[in-house]
Amino acid sequence: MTKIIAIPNAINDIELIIDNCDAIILGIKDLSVNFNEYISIEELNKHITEIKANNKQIFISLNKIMHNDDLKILEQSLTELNKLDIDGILYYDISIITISKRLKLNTKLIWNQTHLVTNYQTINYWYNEGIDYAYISPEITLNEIIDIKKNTKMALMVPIFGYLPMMHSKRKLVTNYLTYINQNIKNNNYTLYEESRKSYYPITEDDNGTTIYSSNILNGLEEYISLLDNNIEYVILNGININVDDFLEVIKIFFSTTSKYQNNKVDMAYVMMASNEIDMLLKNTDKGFLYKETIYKVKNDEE
Amino acid sequence: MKNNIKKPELLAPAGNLEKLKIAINYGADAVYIGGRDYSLRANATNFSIDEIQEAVNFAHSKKAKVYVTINIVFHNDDFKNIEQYLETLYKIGVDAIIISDPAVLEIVNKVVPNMEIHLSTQGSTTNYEAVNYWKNKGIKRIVLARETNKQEIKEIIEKTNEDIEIFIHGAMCIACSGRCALSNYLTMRDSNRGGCSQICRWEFILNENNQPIDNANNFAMASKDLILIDHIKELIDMGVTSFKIEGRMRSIYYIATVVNAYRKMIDKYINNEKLDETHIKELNRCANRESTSQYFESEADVNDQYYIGREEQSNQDFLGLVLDYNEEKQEVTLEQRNFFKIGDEVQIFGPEIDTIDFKIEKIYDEKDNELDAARHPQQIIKIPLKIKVYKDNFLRIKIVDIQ
Repeated sequence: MTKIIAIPNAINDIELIIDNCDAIILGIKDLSVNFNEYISIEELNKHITEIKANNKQIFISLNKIMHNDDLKILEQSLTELNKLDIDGILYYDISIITISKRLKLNTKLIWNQTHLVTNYQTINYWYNEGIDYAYISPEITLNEIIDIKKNTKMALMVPIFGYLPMMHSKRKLVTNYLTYINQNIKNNNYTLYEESRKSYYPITEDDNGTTIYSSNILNGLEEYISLLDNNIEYVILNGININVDDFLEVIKIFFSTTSKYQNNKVDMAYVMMASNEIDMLLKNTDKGFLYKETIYKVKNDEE
Repeated sequence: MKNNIKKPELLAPAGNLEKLKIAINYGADAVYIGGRDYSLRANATNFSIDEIQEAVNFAHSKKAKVYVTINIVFHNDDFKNIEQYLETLYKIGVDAIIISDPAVLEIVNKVVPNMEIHLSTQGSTTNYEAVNYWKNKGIKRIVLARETNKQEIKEIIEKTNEDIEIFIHGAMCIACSGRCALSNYLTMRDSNRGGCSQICRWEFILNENNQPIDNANNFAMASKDLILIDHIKELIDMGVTSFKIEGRMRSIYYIATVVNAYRKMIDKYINNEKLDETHIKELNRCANRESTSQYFESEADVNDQYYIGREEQSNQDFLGLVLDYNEEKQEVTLEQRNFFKIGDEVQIFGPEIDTIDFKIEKIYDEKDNELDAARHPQQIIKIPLKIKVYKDNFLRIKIVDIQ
């Protein structure tokens, strides 16, 4: 049965949301990006105890692009994490694979190269390399996701709710801009407004760079049923930049949907009503790329 | 000639056959091109199979190499015909392919196992562990991410002994390569399959707590261009295999100027000749955006971006392309590309000649009618010149004093 992984907006939110999801993803200080709060490996132990006491899983993200200077601490961190009761490590950088293999570490690895996990052929390449899960990119359609599932043995994690990271830069884009206009960065509550689209895009910055998020929150509750039908192993509900009370409501709806599905009691009328509840709660929701295929050629080769 | 120094390859972009020939004639050791499919510049002119064949024939006749990009991030249905395409490229004699998706690596190993493979900058390779992983998979060369600094590049080369290619000139992405889908979200154009609509050059309004920042220009995040001509010595000394110039969509004038400048600087350093500022000035003039060394020496900061919209200027320096030289009449025939007139101080440069300074004293049209100016784009013009010049030399406004 498909499991629900939640990404909390704040570390303190774990205890609020853990009852209604199956797993949590946390980011580690200096080794991950796209989180609002990070913890150290030392602090992690306490949370592992809490999460495991609830019979849940915990995944750790080390999704930063690593430079030479990061490798020593990365190796130490992977060694430490291997001793802990965690369920997997999400990675972007290939160095995590080489170090894990060299040190013969047992922790499961999740291929999480944000926008690059888009087809089953490449997923199968990494499956043959011994990678355990693939975290599907949100920029592909539902049909493509199902096609991937039919053509791979790799376990999949599919993002189905939340703001989606659109880009990541190593540069401090907010600080640089504010410096240029002789102002200081005050907090991390910034958005970029684009006039022609009348849209606001959350932009967050930390020591490792800047991330810009989608203007709308992906609400894939209706499509979750297709993922359940196709035995997708995990779905991801991302709570970054979302009020915890609202996020908790959403998690409960997904959790309840899963229970109904397990007991053959879900019907689409219920799902649509529940999805509508999420839309009413959050206002700026959409279906992301689940039904929208991107294009890339806008003129003929002869032009 | 310097001992124990590996002469780097100068690798130039070529958006079409004309640019490819210019790049090679002006000193590129290799060029990279995109086919009609699988390339990250899906909306460039790109090369048909016949054109790739012509490109390879021309390049090999000049002892230069051709690399073909197959660097998109594939979706399920994009793999159709890739095997046939790879086989065709191999038969044509393409010297290497540049990939970013490791699924292509497996296909290459199956159908054309002797094809040389380079890993694109889209792989965001920034450390020696990652380089060694790909080296062990048979990747012959890695194009490092543009966020690596000189110490990192040096350490990577020392610890891997892999062929390393780095960008030395041209446009930069503001995001980490491969880590940007802004175009997908704002315009439905897939940045990772060649459809990038360059959202990073748009303007936005920065809001704090849902209110616009006071007294602020619009938020911009466009990067300035990269220029590493000041660092040629360091790059050669540390053993970088290939110096890559960005710009498959750039003009022939840009390609000729940039390739010529780096070619001359590399050769002068290798041959223990004095380096001068001439080529640096040429590069700074031909760019239509400001350029910095970006991450090469330290983290890119406030000075490496633009903040007041797009500050691109159309370059007016390029005046004409030499079509022919009549030795008997001592007359150049050229195709006008920007306005020039009697009295203008100009230069002609090219790979066969030292840069020639002169003043325009006469201008004639094709029918030998005297003109006071060359006004019309692509107008065929003749001007007297006692020094022999060659087809595909460039006429430009005088921008540097020749040393």
